[in-house]
Amino acid sequence: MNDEVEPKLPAELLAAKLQCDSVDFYSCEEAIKRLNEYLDHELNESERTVVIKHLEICKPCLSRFTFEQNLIVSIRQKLCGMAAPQPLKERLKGLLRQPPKDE
Amino acid sequence: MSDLASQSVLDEEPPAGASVNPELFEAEMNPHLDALYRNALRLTGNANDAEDLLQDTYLRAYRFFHQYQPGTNAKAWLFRIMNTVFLNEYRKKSRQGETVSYDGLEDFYLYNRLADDIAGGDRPEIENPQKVVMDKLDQEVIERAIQALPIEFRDTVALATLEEMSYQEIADALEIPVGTVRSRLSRGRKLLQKALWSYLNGEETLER
Repeated sequence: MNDEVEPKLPAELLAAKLQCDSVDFYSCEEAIKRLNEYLDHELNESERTVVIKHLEICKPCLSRFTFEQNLIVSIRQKLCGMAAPQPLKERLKGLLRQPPKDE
Repeated sequence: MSDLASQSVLDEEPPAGASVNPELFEAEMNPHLDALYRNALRLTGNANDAEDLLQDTYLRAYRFFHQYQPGTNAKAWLFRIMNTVFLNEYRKKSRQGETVSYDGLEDFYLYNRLADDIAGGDRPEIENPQKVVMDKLDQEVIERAIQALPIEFRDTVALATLEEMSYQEIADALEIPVGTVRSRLSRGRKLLQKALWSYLNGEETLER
């Protein structure tokens, strides 16, 4: 559930926001909607920037996004070492060089 | 022309006299063999069928190599052929994945369960519960959790998470719109976390 209270902007960030009105700050909900695309590097540059800005000011989201990121990296590392068996590779190599059989 | 209608890989015979240089084919396709094998394992759930599926896919790709346009995405092309072969010939005998309850699907499922544990004082002695969970997630637990996903979620989650394919590549490989990749990924990753959590807690099967 996204029942977190929107964090208050620290004074210096508030000032920065006022100075730079063209930059939007996402709410938690808007940032979380983009979680997967953020993790998978599917966001365009400007959207990514706005998500990162949200993470800079929102500790709960930063903590959650970091967890998701670590989880994905960890899963990937643990499962991606597996290679096709060498005998299978040899067999495929041989099959390409066989005259085709009639089916 | 560049788009290979997947059914044609199964139905059409290649034009007579179409001969392919094996070295050329191997140079384009072999860099993806390991990823393709992992995908076959996920689809079939066992090593024997996985080897057969990979071999069928590989030979089919070889026969239809004239339809492949050099410089386009070889990985997505191979995965698409594998997916088509699998759906047509293997799906019946493969494991379908357990029925996973869609109830209680939330964002940050694992993270929130951990937070609950800490707040509830279940594991007060643990300094870094996230690290503890990561350590406990061994290869077997993760593989079981992925296999437990319904197949459409399993494909999408695995290709994005394990094989680092872009959403467009996944859409091409599975022949679904990019929007469908997004929604399956969103739901599938939540389901995966739910499965991981239940296996971490020693539950033998997922709640229904």
